[in-house]
Amino acid sequence: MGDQPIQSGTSEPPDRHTSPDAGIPGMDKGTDGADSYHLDLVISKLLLIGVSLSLVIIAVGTTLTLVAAATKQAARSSITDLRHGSLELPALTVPHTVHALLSGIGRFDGPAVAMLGLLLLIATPMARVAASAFVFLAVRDAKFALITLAVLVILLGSFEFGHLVSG
Amino acid sequence: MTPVELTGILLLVGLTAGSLGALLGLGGGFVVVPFLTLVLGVNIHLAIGTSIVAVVATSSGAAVAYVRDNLANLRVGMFLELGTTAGAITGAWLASMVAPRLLYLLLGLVLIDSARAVWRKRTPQAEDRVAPPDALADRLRLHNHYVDATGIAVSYRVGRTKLTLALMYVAGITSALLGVGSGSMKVPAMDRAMGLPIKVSAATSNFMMGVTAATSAGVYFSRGDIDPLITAPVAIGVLLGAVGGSRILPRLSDTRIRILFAVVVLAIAATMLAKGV
Repeated sequence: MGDQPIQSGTSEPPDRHTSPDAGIPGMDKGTDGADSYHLDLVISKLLLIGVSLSLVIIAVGTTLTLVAAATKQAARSSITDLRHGSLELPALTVPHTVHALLSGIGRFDGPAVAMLGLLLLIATPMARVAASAFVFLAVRDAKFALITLAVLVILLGSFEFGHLVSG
Repeated sequence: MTPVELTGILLLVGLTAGSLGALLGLGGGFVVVPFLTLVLGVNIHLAIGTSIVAVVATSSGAAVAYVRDNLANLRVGMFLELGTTAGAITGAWLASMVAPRLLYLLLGLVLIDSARAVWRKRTPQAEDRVAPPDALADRLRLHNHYVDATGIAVSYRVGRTKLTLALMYVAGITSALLGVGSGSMKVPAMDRAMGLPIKVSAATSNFMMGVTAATSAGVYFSRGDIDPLITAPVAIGVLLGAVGGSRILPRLSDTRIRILFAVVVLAIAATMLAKGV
């Protein structure tokens, strides 16, 4: 199979007069093999979308939590107890199953919304690995398609593994 | 402390961790865990869960720029992720049976050695730059270049790929056990073993770290160790801080990065040793 669709250009130094374009995506590295299919741009965009989206959702969730805490005395006292030993949160429960998360979001529950944003944040690197595997498959870079797919399998396995170790 | 005050403090913690982490290729866990446990009195499990999410946030926030500007070496990062993710799974499994004190002691000593090595190379010598020929690096086409602040392209070659992969496995184990990004191990490994330029090491470490940490974050989430009340404000701060830090790195000199790295890693080593003794 065509293992080397694009030659890597590392043996010859790239154009030295690229300073005006150094900050512009894709302009400053024309000789590099990996950039011919713009993997760097795909990944950079994907990360930007994941980061921005989760940032907004986490911010909304935090705002909702603060509003709820201002009105609920129970939540307020649990936060005041923070300094005294380990923190327990009876009023604002931590959703750590998909079901609890979904029902919390349905109720517009601050912590649940924030948790959704946090999960999206955690999912972003995984989406990045998946997208890379897809690109490597598309350009028939068999070695790196295999490497990225193996990483993806380990990542997805970790969620199941968490249930195993916690009983 | 009111909820608003708490959120504000956590935002600031996140900003510090994110900007410093992005600059040095560290996750920022070294800021988050001590502050949450020692200053705020947060339960250690929740602190580690928060720290792991902060590492993911630092990584993704910084990598947006590092990947776009070709500062992070994607192929090196993706290959080494094999080691870090496998190590993270091992670490999560080991967590219940290893005495943390021993680990802290060992890691403290390793970090002192790393800091010393990075410090010594702050005035670059020609022979430091050249990595030994490595057939695996050739086959995987890992060699690359980056454009520095003055617009000059700096080519570099990659060496000792297998040794670095093994070091990444150890870094992955540590990451899962202690809830840190283990950048303090990854950056010296890429700098010393592989022969990558310090900026490329820091940027690639950041790029990889999100995947390692996401592996552990999955475990912590299903255990209920991620609490949005604490984690969410930290994550917001870290994301903003990391984006800021990633804009500064290309403009800093290699010498400054090395000095800052050595100082911060020495401080981390001191806290580790203090916990172990």
